[in-house]
Amino acid sequence: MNRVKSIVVDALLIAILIALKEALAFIPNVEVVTLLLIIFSMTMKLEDLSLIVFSFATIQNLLYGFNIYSISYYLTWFIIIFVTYYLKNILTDEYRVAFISLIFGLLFDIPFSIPYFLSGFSAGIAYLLSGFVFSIVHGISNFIIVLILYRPLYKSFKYFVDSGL
Amino acid sequence: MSKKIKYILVAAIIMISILAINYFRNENLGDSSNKEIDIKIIIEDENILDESFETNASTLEELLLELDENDNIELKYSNSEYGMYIQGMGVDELFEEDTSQFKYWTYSSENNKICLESGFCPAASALAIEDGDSFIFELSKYE
Repeated sequence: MNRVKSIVVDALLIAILIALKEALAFIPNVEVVTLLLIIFSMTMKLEDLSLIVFSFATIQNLLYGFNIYSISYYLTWFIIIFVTYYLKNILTDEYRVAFISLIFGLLFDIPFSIPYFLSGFSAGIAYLLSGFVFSIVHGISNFIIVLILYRPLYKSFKYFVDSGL
Repeated sequence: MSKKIKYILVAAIIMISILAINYFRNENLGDSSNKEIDIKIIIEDENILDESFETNASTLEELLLELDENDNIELKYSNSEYGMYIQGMGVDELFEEDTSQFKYWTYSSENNKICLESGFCPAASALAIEDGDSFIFELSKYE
């Protein structure tokens, strides 16, 4: 896939991520961004992944305002793509992918707690504990979504990437 | 039943159970006896409200909703994953946050038990209030 086509495809994927994120924004901690980024990480090059994640996080910050969480937002999604990209050889079925998405969901809040930990250890722990229930919801919803959607989406997207469209 | 469906069902049951436990835990948060709470509202260092209110509310969220309903204060909020998120407050006029100017609403307390133990005050929906508590709501610029 030449570079121009690659950039156009990346832009479309960014738009899809934003649209789906906003469509599910009314349900706290239920999202398909993790699933899609995992699929992208299993099939695309790291430079495209980095562009997609950086652009997605930047647009989200533009939509909701840059604030104390902005850097954490970049960090979280970059961690997800890098971990998936470098573990893709062992993520050979949807159960392993579902497990790793569960872990991502459970640990999603940790980068966002960094500003609180800078104020003090108890503040950071209080922040994590106050969102603990929703971290569990996030992890389990990721798990369920991956089990249902991963295989068909991965197959379609892999076909799309392999055929050079 | 396939293995995948079993996993999905178990995960769904666990999630619903956790949400139900959390819901009933929050329902029992605080007590609904009569209490007096001090509320101060400060807009960029100017004190626009400093009053005590009698209430049976068990959480700070319930109190704020009650004050809004009784027209003691103006209130604008949203329900985030962490509970009530205050977007605007005021007395006769609503003063809203301005994220482009880094102006946000925050609140603090010098004597609420949970705020003192945690080191900071959690979302209003998760804060049980007691007789004699005082709260300061501020709209300030954070840079």
